[in-house]
Amino acid sequence: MAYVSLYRKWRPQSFSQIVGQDHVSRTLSNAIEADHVGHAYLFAGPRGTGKTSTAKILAKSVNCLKGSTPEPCGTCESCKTIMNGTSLDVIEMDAASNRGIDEIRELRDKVAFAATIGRKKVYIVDEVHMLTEHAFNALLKTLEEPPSHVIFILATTDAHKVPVTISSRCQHFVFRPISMQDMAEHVIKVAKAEKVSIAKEAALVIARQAEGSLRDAIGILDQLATYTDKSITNENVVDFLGLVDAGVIETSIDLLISGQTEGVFEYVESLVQAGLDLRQFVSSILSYSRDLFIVSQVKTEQRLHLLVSPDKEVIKRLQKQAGQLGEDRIRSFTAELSTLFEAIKSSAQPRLAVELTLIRMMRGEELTIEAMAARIESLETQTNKPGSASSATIPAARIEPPRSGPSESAPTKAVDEAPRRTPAKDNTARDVEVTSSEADLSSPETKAGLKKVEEASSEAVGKKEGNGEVTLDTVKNMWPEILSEAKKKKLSLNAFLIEGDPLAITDGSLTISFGSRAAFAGKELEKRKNAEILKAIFSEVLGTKLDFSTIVDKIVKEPVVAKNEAPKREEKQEEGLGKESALDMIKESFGAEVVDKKT
Amino acid sequence: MKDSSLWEQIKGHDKTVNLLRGVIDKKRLTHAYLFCGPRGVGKAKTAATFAAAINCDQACGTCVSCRGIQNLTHPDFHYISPEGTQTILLSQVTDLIKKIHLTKQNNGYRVIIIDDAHKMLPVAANALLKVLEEPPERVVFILVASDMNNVLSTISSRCQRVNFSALKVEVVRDILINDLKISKDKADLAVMLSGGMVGEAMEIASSGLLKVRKTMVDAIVAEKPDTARSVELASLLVAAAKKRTAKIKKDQEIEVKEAMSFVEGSRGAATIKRNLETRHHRERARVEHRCYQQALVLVASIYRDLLVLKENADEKFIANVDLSFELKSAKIERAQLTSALANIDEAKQRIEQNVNPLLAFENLFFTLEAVV
Repeated sequence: MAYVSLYRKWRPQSFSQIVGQDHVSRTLSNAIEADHVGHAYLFAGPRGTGKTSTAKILAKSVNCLKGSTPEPCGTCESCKTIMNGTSLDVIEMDAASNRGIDEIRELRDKVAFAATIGRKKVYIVDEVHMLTEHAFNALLKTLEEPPSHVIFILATTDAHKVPVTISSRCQHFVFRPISMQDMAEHVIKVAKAEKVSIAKEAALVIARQAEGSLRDAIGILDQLATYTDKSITNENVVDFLGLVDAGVIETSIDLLISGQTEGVFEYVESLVQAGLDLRQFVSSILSYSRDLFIVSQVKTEQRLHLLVSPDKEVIKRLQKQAGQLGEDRIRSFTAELSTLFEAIKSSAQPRLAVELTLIRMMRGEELTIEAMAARIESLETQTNKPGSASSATIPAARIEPPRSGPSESAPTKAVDEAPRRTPAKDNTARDVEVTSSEADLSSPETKAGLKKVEEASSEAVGKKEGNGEVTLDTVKNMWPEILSEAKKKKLSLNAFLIEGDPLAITDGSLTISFGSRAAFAGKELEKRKNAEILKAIFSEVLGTKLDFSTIVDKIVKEPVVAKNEAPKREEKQEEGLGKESALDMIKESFGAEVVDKKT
Repeated sequence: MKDSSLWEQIKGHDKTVNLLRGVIDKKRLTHAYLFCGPRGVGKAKTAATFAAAINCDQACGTCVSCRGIQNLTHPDFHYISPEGTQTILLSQVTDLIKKIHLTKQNNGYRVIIIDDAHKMLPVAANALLKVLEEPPERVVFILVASDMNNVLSTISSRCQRVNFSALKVEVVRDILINDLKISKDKADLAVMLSGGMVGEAMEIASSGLLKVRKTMVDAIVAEKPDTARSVELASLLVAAAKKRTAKIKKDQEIEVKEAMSFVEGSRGAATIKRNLETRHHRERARVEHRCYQQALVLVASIYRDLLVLKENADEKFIANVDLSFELKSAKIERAQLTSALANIDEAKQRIEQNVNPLLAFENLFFTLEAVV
């Protein structure tokens, strides 16, 4: 006969052979002995915990020709046929590939027939969670009150996918993941029977790797038996499963402690070259950091059995490393590694993700929200302190008007970006603004680009003042009125005018400057139609006739700001870009008025 | 054939090959195997060889059985791969289950390879469970998966796992240069970029993407965002992918023509043509998709190089050696690298979810530039 996989060969054949499910096997054997077997069972639990096996044992027990017993004989015709799957009384159904309503109807039609050689007809419906909704519902009535010779056993790994109407009609048994200790013992037992020698430590490693599933554990044992020629050592297991050797992890922690970031690449390279899976590596280092955490928290010796590897030597080294790192860093390591473990699953470049995280861990940089918040806070206090270092070096930073940047650019961003923007051309524009807001054109801060015109203008200011004619100051003061008047007369005129900035008055002619971006607006203003309206507005608002001309600055222009508004905005700016300032921004950019405010 | 056995053709997996040969020699063949490991390291090829060895102890490569398996014409050999664009369908599995119980030829083994098993739809995977646990005699399943996170634990626990690791750099280079006749410079670069995945390296070397890296580096290193450049870069990447599918399309058209010359005029001709074209269409979509993923790997590789430079590590770790001058001019913070990597992964996910690739790339480069 062909070779049969060990996990099939070693399927338990009686309740006493079931590993690690005492609560289930005891209940069921008692039920059989007391002749209290129910008509519907639901077995739920993770893979490899014995659901299907228990179902088969139950089927044998109730049908054994030597009488109902928790220890079926295994020799009678009924037991034999059930074991090799040819029994007419035990129907094992794969609900995952027969999941439709038709299959259930067929089953319902057949339940009426009595058992052949046994006493009961047992339907084992495996993977029952895959039945369709209709199929489940079609089963309901039969499941609640089947003929007296029928037992249903539903088995599933996903109990939550089974409708409550189904599960409430069944006796529900929950199978637990098998404990490491039980599993290791069983692995050793099977190995012995198969004449394979296995180290106890190796059995434990297998048990841990199997994560509660006995089938996985026996499967690994099976493979190892082939791989190692029947004598299994700890190294074999680690090597075979592609597990990351504890030594490798220890080295990595040492590397992290050393803080030599350039060594990270060499180290990760060596991992990849050794053929280690980076995901496996991350999961190993994560469980190692759990050990570190335990060591740093637990001071009493006897509690240390919680460790993954409770070995004295290992504990000593763990304690040393934990001491070097300190509790906080261990905690942040664990957090970083958990994030990495998730991220690496779908990463385009797992290697880069690992390297980056390791380096970040070395630098002790935490990307936690709390850390960020603290940093932001410190930055904020720094910038808000009047006369502090930062505000002295970048005076214009906070006077920067709310520009195209939307209000969602959080305060942090504004603060953060300010220093970087300063050196560029923005700087000039802003200085101009500072000047205009102070209405002091002869200010020394005025930049070269504007100098010539300004000199002319300051002269002009001096000259005109004496004549009692319109001065630049008056124009500037009246500018908002001019704008609103323009808006009433012609909306587009207002839009153009808003881009301009009254610069100087020479010989009864106002020079309006436009930023290079708004050169178009200047041109439009000079068109005859617009010019006439504007002149009319001037005479209306200012009371005198005033000619005008436009020039284009090479400098990026901010929208004009009237004198009295400037300081107000400065305050707003300090508070951060709140709702109010966003509103202001809109008002300024569009020259709008607030008609109604809904909050 | 020069080699005495098909096993000789598998490079860089000595341990795994020994294990599998041991299974055959010691007659301890079980009914289900799960080959897992990174994409493009030779899992499917090993699986096919193992399948040949199951029916012919030596996997000689010359007997009827071996050739049948290599050419997918063996009556007891089933090869299943995603038939949906991304998934293995339930119908594929139920069709398979029906065939499993048929009598085998020459009393041999029936071998079923399920490639990209992680792409099985949950219904399909569940339908397989029972038969995977206790198949009829002399039936062997070989599941091949590169993403273990998407393999049901109930599936993997029924199989013996065979792990594949990434290949050593020398092995990949050797394969590229000697077996695939790729020029040395290109091979070196592709090897560095692929991180030990032959399939990946092969595709990178033959894609037009290597040329685009210069623009990529410029965009990433630049101090000021430049919308026009980002847009151009995105369209370059998409164009490279389209070019590749166009090339495939030509071959496919020839295939259709040839096939049609056999069946022209017969009754099923139209159906055959339609099926062939559907298959071709899916294949093109897959190739295009892969091309985008590689483009993202390249982008990420640039950031890795920046990290190497940032940490003053040995320059041998730089993948884009030819561009190291440009890379050195970059000023970048570590936090920015982190967020860049997150952006790249996000773009990867978006493209996987069928977002218009051009938009996904544009968005990626906009955000990347804004970060710098």
